[in-house]
Amino acid sequence: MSETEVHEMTMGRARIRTVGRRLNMEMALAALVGPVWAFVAAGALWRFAVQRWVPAVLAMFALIALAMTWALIRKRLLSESQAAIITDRRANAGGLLLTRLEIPVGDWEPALRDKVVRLTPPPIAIGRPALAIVAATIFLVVAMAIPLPAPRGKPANAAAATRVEHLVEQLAVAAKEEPVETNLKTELERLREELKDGKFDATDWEAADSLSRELDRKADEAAAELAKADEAARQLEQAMAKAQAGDRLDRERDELERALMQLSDGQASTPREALDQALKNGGPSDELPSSNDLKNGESKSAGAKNTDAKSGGKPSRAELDALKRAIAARQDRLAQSFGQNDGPRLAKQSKGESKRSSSPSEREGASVREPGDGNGDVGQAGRELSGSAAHGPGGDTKILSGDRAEIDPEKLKLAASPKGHGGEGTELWGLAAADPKRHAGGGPAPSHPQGLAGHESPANREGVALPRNKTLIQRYFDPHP
Amino acid sequence: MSEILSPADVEKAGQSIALLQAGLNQVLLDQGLVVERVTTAILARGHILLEGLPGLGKTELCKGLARLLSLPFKRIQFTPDLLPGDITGTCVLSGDARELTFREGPLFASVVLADEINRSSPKTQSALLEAMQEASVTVLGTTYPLPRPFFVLATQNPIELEGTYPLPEAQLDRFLFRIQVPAVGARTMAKLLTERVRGAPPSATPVLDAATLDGIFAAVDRVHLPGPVADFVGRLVEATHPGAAGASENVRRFVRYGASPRAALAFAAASRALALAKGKPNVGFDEVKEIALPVLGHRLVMGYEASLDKISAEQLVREIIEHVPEVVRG
Repeated sequence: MSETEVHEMTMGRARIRTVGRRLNMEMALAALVGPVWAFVAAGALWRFAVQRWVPAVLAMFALIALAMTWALIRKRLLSESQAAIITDRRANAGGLLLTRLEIPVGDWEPALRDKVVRLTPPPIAIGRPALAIVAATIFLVVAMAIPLPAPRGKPANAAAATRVEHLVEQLAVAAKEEPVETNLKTELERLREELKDGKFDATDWEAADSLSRELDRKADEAAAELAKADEAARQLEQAMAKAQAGDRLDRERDELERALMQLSDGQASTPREALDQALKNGGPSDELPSSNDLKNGESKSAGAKNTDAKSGGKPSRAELDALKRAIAARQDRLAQSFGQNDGPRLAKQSKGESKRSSSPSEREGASVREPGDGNGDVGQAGRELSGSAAHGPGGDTKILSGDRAEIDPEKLKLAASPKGHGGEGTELWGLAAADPKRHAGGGPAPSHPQGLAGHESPANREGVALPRNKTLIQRYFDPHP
Repeated sequence: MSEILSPADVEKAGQSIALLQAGLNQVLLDQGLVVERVTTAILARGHILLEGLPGLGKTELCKGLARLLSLPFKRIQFTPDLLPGDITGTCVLSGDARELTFREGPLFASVVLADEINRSSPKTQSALLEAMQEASVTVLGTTYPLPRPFFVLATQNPIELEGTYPLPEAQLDRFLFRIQVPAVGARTMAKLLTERVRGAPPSATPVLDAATLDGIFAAVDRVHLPGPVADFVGRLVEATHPGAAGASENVRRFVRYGASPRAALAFAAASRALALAKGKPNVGFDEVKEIALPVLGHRLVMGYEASLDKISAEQLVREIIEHVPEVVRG
């Protein structure tokens, strides 16, 4: 092959390659439009939706778009032989150009060269694809230039957010019990930052678990200490209750001594003297405390009084019982001295009440009841012994209230009212219990410092008087209001 | 690598071909395309099936061709009672020697006109198979070569179907071209009336001798067929098969059997001859497309749906030419 032939062949191949490049470019541009728009749309969506790793994602999308384009055009790219066919057809060579690619054409070369030289490249329609690609580029630039909206506050990892919130609550609870260590707060703050940045990973989960276990341990310790404090408080309360019981015995003894002093008609200046007087006046020896007992009790009491302030000693139950028995004996003696029949009964009643009263409160209400009344220190016993008006025909009836009230059918019988209480006795009837007949030995008790009001009747002092009882009492004492 | 034809060789062959075509055009008035295809088929050393109405000059064309090429010419009128031995020749007792001697039949000529070939029985038609393909005749176990060149130009009437026997597919495939001879117009008939006595063609003088014809045949063989064009030929033939991947919907529907590889060979030979007739040293896509119709038209075996829908093979061939691209991407 001569140098000229080589040159001619090279020139022909160059023309073929030119035609091939142009056609391939046209095809590639047309195939590029779809992937480019997909890349641009995906990139813009990613930027607005995710807002993170935009450059990396754009690069990845670009690679994907290029791969898609290559997949589309790979099998459609023109080979040299295919470009030669098109060139041959465009040059109207009638297959001579194809022949020259296979064998030398010899004398046909000038004619072929003329045709190849006159060959005009095939027109390619790249305007629309190029415009579409430029539009896609502008779209991408605009999409990248638009300011991003504020990132959403919603955490990406809801489970992690819940866990961190739980840790915050745990830490707050632990902080109420005792000051929380700084490293725990720092760790919790770090976890919150990780959650906010969306970097909450497996390591953070482990850290959260560890922090939770630490807070649980502190909560357990605080609960144990609280249980200890509760136990100590309970023990202290029990101790205080014991101390209060001792004080109550002291007060009871004081009341009994004071009552004994009053029963001594002012002859005794000290409880000791009153007690001695009560012993001296005599009485059933079995009802009175022995001298030794009293002395022991007195000495104990005196010693206790002397040492109460210092040592906190308490009177014994036996001492109090001795005082009660002394008071009962004194009352019986006084009743006998006033000739009252009720005296022994009252004494026995008082003694019975003392026996019935098992609890300190009952005993306080029955026998030594009125220290707070001021003028009523003698109480029920004194008033009954003074011969105050008896209620009802029996004379020993008294108005009871509360759970001690009893219904006596005899008292509820109707009877003619006496004269002076509504005319003829046959015309006005009333309850037999309302008969204001004066019984023997009855009369108002002149020794009573102050008259008792109707509602302050002894029965009423046992409890709250019923309204009907109050009305009866009021009508009895004040028939003409 | 064979050398391509020089422009001088091509020009020389072109001149001879032009003379031949000019002589044929004198025989057959205003049938340029028919003449061109007949010339191409002769240059490609192929057999020709002329199909057309009676009186269009098919027989005169064959006789004129033989005269122009100065080749031995024989005519066989195919009739229903024609036997194979009547055309191939038979062995007869000769004279006093009382020996069987082979008496050549009408096939022993370079140009054989098989007039109304479809009127003989398939047995007789099949007697042409060996002659057309191998250019030889075998009688009683003895093969007798036919003279070279050997051309069979057959005619058939497409409208007189009664008493005819359609050519078998193998026979059809052996014809390089099936050429439709169209009817002529009034001007042609007027010329025929005014320029010829009783319609007889002018006496043709031979324009080519045997040596020249052999030179042309050699030149045809040297016409280069580029690879892309050969690939295009192959895709064209493949597209005629209904089971091929690139077959069109109509091919799948109307064609029962497509063209054989012999069709591709016919494509190559005819396109070379046509290119040389056009003065080209190589084959181009245009030559292939130009001869596709006469090459493929009689090689497609159409289905019954095609006859129902009046779809001809020529229509499908035109569709195939348009359907198959010169350049395949991907």
